Amino acid sequence: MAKERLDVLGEVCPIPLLMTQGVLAKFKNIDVLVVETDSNQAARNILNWCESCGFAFEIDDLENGVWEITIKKGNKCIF
Amino acid sequence: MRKSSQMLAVILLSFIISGFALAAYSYQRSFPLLWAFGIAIGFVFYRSGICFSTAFSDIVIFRNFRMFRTSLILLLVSFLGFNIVQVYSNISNGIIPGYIFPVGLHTAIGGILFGMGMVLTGACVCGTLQKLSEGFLLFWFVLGGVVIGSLLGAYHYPWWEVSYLSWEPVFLPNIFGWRVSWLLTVIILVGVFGGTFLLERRK
Repeated sequence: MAKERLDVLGEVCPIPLLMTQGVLAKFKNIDVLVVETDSNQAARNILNWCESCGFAFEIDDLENGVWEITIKKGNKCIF
Repeated sequence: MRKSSQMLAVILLSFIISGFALAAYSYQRSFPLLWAFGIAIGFVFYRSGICFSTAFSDIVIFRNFRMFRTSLILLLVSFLGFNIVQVYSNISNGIIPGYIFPVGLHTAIGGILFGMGMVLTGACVCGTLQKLSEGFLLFWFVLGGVVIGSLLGAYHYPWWEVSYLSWEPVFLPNIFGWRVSWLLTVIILVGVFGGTFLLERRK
Protein backbone atom coordinates (compact mmCIF):
# COMPACT_ATOMS: atom_id res chain seq x y z
CA MET A 1 0.00 0.00 0.00
CA ALA A 2 1.61 3.19 -1.17
CA LYS A 3 1.28 6.18 1.10
CA GLU A 4 2.41 9.67 0.11
CA ARG A 5 2.43 13.12 1.70
CA LEU A 6 1.62 16.34 -0.09
CA ASP A 7 2.54 19.67 1.43
CA VAL A 8 0.47 22.57 0.12
CA LEU A 9 1.01 24.91 3.06
CA GLY A 10 0.77 28.54 2.00
CA GLU A 11 -1.06 27.76 -1.23
CA VAL A 12 -4.53 29.21 -1.77
CA CYS A 13 -7.39 27.73 -3.72
CA PRO A 14 -7.56 26.34 -6.32
CA ILE A 15 -3.90 25.22 -6.15
CA PRO A 16 -4.24 22.64 -3.29
CA LEU A 17 -7.06 20.75 -5.00
CA LEU A 18 -5.33 20.95 -8.38
CA MET A 19 -2.11 19.57 -6.91
CA THR A 20 -4.00 16.82 -5.07
CA GLN A 21 -5.73 15.79 -8.28
CA GLY A 22 -2.48 16.08 -10.18
CA VAL A 23 -0.54 13.85 -7.79
CA LEU A 24 -3.30 11.23 -7.73
CA ALA A 25 -3.57 11.29 -11.52
CA LYS A 26 0.16 11.02 -12.06
CA PHE A 27 1.03 8.38 -9.47
CA LYS A 28 -1.66 5.79 -9.85
CA ASN A 29 -0.06 3.47 -7.31
CA ILE A 30 -0.84 5.83 -4.41
CA ASP A 31 -3.56 4.40 -2.19
CA VAL A 32 -3.38 6.87 0.69
CA LEU A 33 -2.48 10.52 0.25
CA VAL A 34 -1.98 12.83 3.20
CA VAL A 35 -2.49 16.48 2.27
CA GLU A 36 -1.41 19.23 4.60
CA THR A 37 -2.99 22.66 4.06
CA ASP A 38 -3.50 25.89 5.95
CA SER A 39 -6.39 27.18 3.84
CA ASN A 40 -9.79 26.20 5.20
CA GLN A 41 -11.45 26.87 1.86
CA ALA A 42 -8.98 24.57 0.14
CA ALA A 43 -9.59 21.90 2.78
CA ARG A 44 -13.32 22.18 2.15
CA ASN A 45 -12.74 21.97 -1.62
CA ILE A 46 -10.67 18.81 -1.25
CA LEU A 47 -13.26 17.20 1.04
CA ASN A 48 -16.06 18.04 -1.39
CA TRP A 49 -14.07 16.57 -4.24
CA CYS A 50 -13.32 13.37 -2.28
CA GLU A 51 -16.98 13.04 -1.50
CA SER A 52 -17.97 13.45 -5.14
CA CYS A 53 -15.41 10.81 -6.14
CA GLY A 54 -16.45 8.40 -3.42
CA PHE A 55 -13.06 8.34 -1.68
CA ALA A 56 -12.87 7.75 2.06
CA PHE A 57 -11.23 10.62 3.90
CA GLU A 58 -10.32 11.85 7.34
CA ILE A 59 -9.53 15.36 8.50
CA ASP A 60 -7.43 16.25 11.48
CA ASP A 61 -6.43 19.69 12.69
CA LEU A 62 -2.78 19.63 13.59
CA GLU A 63 -2.76 23.10 15.12
CA ASN A 64 -4.84 26.25 14.77
CA GLY A 65 -5.36 26.78 11.07
CA VAL A 66 -3.46 23.76 9.78
CA TRP A 67 -5.35 20.73 8.57
CA GLU A 68 -4.21 17.28 7.55
CA ILE A 69 -6.47 15.45 5.16
CA THR A 70 -6.00 11.73 4.71
CA ILE A 71 -7.46 10.57 1.42
CA LYS A 72 -7.95 6.83 1.16
CA LYS A 73 -8.25 6.39 -2.52
CA GLY A 74 -7.68 2.66 -2.42
CA ASN A 75 -7.54 1.30 -5.93
CA LYS A 76 -10.47 3.36 -7.11
CA CYS A 77 -9.58 5.24 -10.23
CA ILE A 78 -11.48 8.11 -11.72
CA PHE A 79 -8.79 9.51 -13.99
CA MET B 1 -12.54 21.16 20.11
CA ARG B 2 -9.43 23.14 20.76
CA LYS B 3 -9.47 25.84 23.40
CA SER B 4 -9.54 29.32 21.94
CA SER B 5 -6.02 30.57 21.64
CA GLN B 6 -7.07 34.14 21.02
CA MET B 7 -8.74 35.03 24.33
CA LEU B 8 -6.70 38.22 24.77
CA ALA B 9 -7.40 39.31 21.22
CA VAL B 10 -11.14 38.65 21.66
CA ILE B 11 -11.30 40.75 24.84
CA LEU B 12 -9.23 43.53 23.29
CA LEU B 13 -11.34 43.53 20.15
CA SER B 14 -14.61 43.65 22.12
CA PHE B 15 -13.33 46.77 23.89
CA ILE B 16 -12.31 48.39 20.61
CA ILE B 17 -15.67 47.51 19.00
CA SER B 18 -17.75 48.86 21.88
CA GLY B 19 -15.50 51.91 22.26
CA PHE B 20 -15.90 52.74 18.59
CA ALA B 21 -19.66 52.19 18.85
CA LEU B 22 -19.85 54.63 21.77
CA ALA B 23 -17.79 57.22 19.91
CA ALA B 24 -19.99 56.77 16.84
CA TYR B 25 -23.13 57.13 18.97
CA SER B 26 -21.97 60.50 20.24
CA TYR B 27 -21.44 61.55 16.62
CA GLN B 28 -24.76 60.34 15.28
CA ARG B 29 -27.31 58.08 16.94
CA SER B 30 -27.82 55.68 14.07
CA PHE B 31 -24.09 54.97 13.55
CA PRO B 32 -23.69 52.12 16.10
CA LEU B 33 -26.47 50.28 14.31
CA LEU B 34 -24.63 50.57 10.99
CA TRP B 35 -21.43 49.49 12.71
CA ALA B 36 -23.17 46.39 14.15
CA PHE B 37 -24.70 45.67 10.76
CA GLY B 38 -21.30 45.83 9.09
CA ILE B 39 -19.75 43.51 11.65
CA ALA B 40 -22.65 41.07 11.27
CA ILE B 41 -22.23 41.00 7.48
CA GLY B 42 -18.50 40.49 7.91
CA PHE B 43 -19.15 37.57 10.23
CA VAL B 44 -21.58 35.96 7.81
CA PHE B 45 -19.08 36.41 4.97
CA TYR B 46 -16.34 34.84 7.05
CA ARG B 47 -18.38 31.85 8.18
CA SER B 48 -19.92 31.17 4.79
CA GLY B 49 -16.52 31.28 3.13
CA ILE B 50 -18.06 32.89 0.09
CA CYS B 51 -15.45 33.56 -2.54
CA PHE B 52 -16.09 35.13 -5.93
CA SER B 53 -12.78 34.05 -7.38
CA THR B 54 -13.54 30.43 -6.49
CA ALA B 55 -16.99 30.90 -7.99
CA PHE B 56 -15.47 31.62 -11.37
CA SER B 57 -12.25 29.61 -11.28
CA ASP B 58 -14.04 26.44 -10.13
CA ILE B 59 -16.29 26.56 -13.18
CA VAL B 60 -13.33 26.69 -15.53
CA ILE B 61 -10.95 24.35 -13.70
CA PHE B 62 -13.21 21.78 -12.03
CA ARG B 63 -16.57 22.35 -13.74
CA ASN B 64 -17.96 22.84 -10.25
CA PHE B 65 -20.78 25.37 -9.98
CA ARG B 66 -21.31 25.18 -6.23
CA MET B 67 -19.73 28.51 -5.29
CA PHE B 68 -21.13 30.18 -8.41
CA ARG B 69 -24.63 29.29 -7.26
CA THR B 70 -23.84 30.60 -3.80
CA SER B 71 -22.77 33.89 -5.36
CA LEU B 72 -25.99 33.99 -7.38
CA ILE B 73 -28.02 33.60 -4.19
CA LEU B 74 -25.97 36.41 -2.66
CA LEU B 75 -26.66 38.57 -5.72
CA LEU B 76 -30.38 37.82 -5.54
CA VAL B 77 -30.59 38.60 -1.83
CA SER B 78 -28.66 41.85 -2.20
CA PHE B 79 -30.77 42.81 -5.23
CA LEU B 80 -33.99 42.28 -3.28
CA GLY B 81 -32.67 44.26 -0.34
CA PHE B 82 -31.33 47.11 -2.44
CA ASN B 83 -34.53 47.16 -4.43
CA ILE B 84 -36.52 47.82 -1.26
CA VAL B 85 -34.11 50.61 -0.30
CA GLN B 86 -34.26 52.13 -3.80
CA VAL B 87 -38.04 52.01 -4.07
CA TYR B 88 -38.46 53.40 -0.57
CA SER B 89 -35.98 56.19 -1.19
CA ASN B 90 -37.54 56.95 -4.58
CA ILE B 91 -41.00 57.32 -2.99
CA SER B 92 -39.82 59.38 -0.02
CA ASN B 93 -37.40 61.81 -1.71
CA GLY B 94 -37.07 60.92 -5.37
CA ILE B 95 -33.41 59.96 -5.08
CA ILE B 96 -32.33 56.48 -6.16
CA PRO B 97 -29.27 55.32 -4.22
CA GLY B 98 -26.78 52.82 -5.59
CA TYR B 99 -23.90 52.58 -8.03
CA ILE B 100 -25.64 53.32 -11.29
CA PHE B 101 -22.84 53.88 -13.80
CA PRO B 102 -22.51 53.47 -17.55
CA VAL B 103 -21.24 50.11 -18.81
CA GLY B 104 -18.72 50.02 -21.61
CA LEU B 105 -15.33 48.90 -22.83
CA HIS B 106 -13.72 50.17 -19.65
CA THR B 107 -15.93 47.78 -17.62
CA ALA B 108 -14.68 44.81 -19.63
CA ILE B 109 -11.03 45.89 -19.39
CA GLY B 110 -11.35 46.53 -15.67
CA GLY B 111 -13.09 43.18 -15.21
CA ILE B 112 -10.33 41.30 -17.04
CA LEU B 113 -7.60 43.06 -15.02
CA PHE B 114 -9.43 42.45 -11.76
CA GLY B 115 -10.19 38.85 -12.70
CA MET B 116 -6.55 38.10 -13.45
CA GLY B 117 -5.48 39.55 -10.12
CA MET B 118 -8.22 37.74 -8.26
CA VAL B 119 -7.38 34.32 -9.68
CA LEU B 120 -3.61 34.82 -9.19
CA THR B 121 -3.97 35.80 -5.54
CA GLY B 122 -6.85 33.43 -4.88
CA ALA B 123 -9.30 35.97 -3.53
CA CYS B 124 -11.37 38.98 -4.50
CA VAL B 125 -11.61 41.97 -2.19
CA CYS B 126 -14.04 40.42 0.29
CA GLY B 127 -12.14 37.15 0.15
CA THR B 128 -8.94 39.02 0.91
CA LEU B 129 -10.50 40.53 4.02
CA GLN B 130 -11.83 37.11 5.04
CA LYS B 131 -8.48 35.41 4.67
CA LEU B 132 -6.72 38.31 6.34
CA SER B 133 -8.94 37.87 9.39
CA GLU B 134 -8.25 34.15 9.38
CA GLY B 135 -4.60 34.96 9.88
CA PHE B 136 -3.17 34.47 6.39
CA LEU B 137 -0.19 36.83 6.43
CA LEU B 138 0.18 36.60 2.66
CA PHE B 139 -3.04 38.51 2.23
CA TRP B 140 -1.58 41.65 3.76
CA PHE B 141 0.37 41.93 0.51
CA VAL B 142 -2.79 41.24 -1.47
CA LEU B 143 -4.59 43.98 0.46
CA GLY B 144 -1.68 46.29 -0.37
CA GLY B 145 -2.17 45.36 -4.02
CA VAL B 146 -5.91 46.05 -3.78
CA VAL B 147 -5.25 49.49 -2.30
CA ILE B 148 -2.57 50.37 -4.89
CA GLY B 149 -4.76 49.09 -7.72
CA SER B 150 -7.80 51.04 -6.54
CA LEU B 151 -5.72 54.21 -6.16
CA LEU B 152 -4.28 53.82 -9.66
CA GLY B 153 -7.75 53.11 -11.02
CA ALA B 154 -9.23 56.15 -9.31
CA TYR B 155 -6.30 58.29 -10.48
CA HIS B 156 -6.63 57.16 -14.08
CA TYR B 157 -10.44 57.09 -14.20
CA PRO B 158 -10.91 60.59 -15.68
CA TRP B 159 -9.03 59.50 -18.82
CA TRP B 160 -11.47 56.59 -19.33
CA GLU B 161 -14.37 58.88 -18.61
CA VAL B 162 -13.30 61.25 -21.39
CA SER B 163 -12.32 58.51 -23.85
CA TYR B 164 -15.08 55.95 -23.48
CA LEU B 165 -18.00 57.22 -21.43
CA SER B 166 -20.08 59.01 -23.98
CA TRP B 167 -23.40 57.42 -23.14
CA GLU B 168 -25.81 57.56 -20.24
CA PRO B 169 -26.04 54.90 -17.54
CA VAL B 170 -28.79 52.33 -18.07
CA PHE B 171 -31.10 51.80 -15.12
CA LEU B 172 -33.68 49.12 -15.88
CA PRO B 173 -36.57 50.58 -13.82
CA ASN B 174 -36.32 53.77 -15.93
CA ILE B 175 -36.98 51.70 -19.07
CA PHE B 176 -39.39 48.99 -17.93
CA GLY B 177 -40.77 50.40 -14.72
CA TRP B 178 -40.11 49.04 -11.24
CA ARG B 179 -42.35 45.98 -11.36
CA VAL B 180 -41.27 44.62 -14.73
CA SER B 181 -37.59 45.22 -14.10
CA TRP B 182 -37.89 43.53 -10.72
CA LEU B 183 -39.49 40.50 -12.31
CA LEU B 184 -36.96 40.51 -15.16
CA THR B 185 -33.98 40.55 -12.80
CA VAL B 186 -35.38 37.76 -10.65
CA ILE B 187 -36.20 35.66 -13.72
CA ILE B 188 -32.69 36.14 -15.15
CA LEU B 189 -30.96 35.29 -11.87
CA VAL B 190 -33.15 32.26 -11.20
CA GLY B 191 -32.72 31.21 -14.83
CA VAL B 192 -28.93 31.33 -14.60
CA PHE B 193 -29.17 29.46 -11.29
CA GLY B 194 -31.18 26.68 -12.92
CA GLY B 195 -28.96 26.75 -16.01
CA THR B 196 -25.90 25.83 -13.94
CA PHE B 197 -27.49 22.48 -13.09
CA LEU B 198 -27.91 21.73 -16.79
CA LEU B 199 -24.31 22.76 -17.52
CA GLU B 200 -23.09 20.62 -14.65
CA ARG B 201 -24.89 17.56 -15.88
CA ARG B 202 -23.43 17.91 -19.38
CA LYS B 203 -19.86 17.15 -18.34
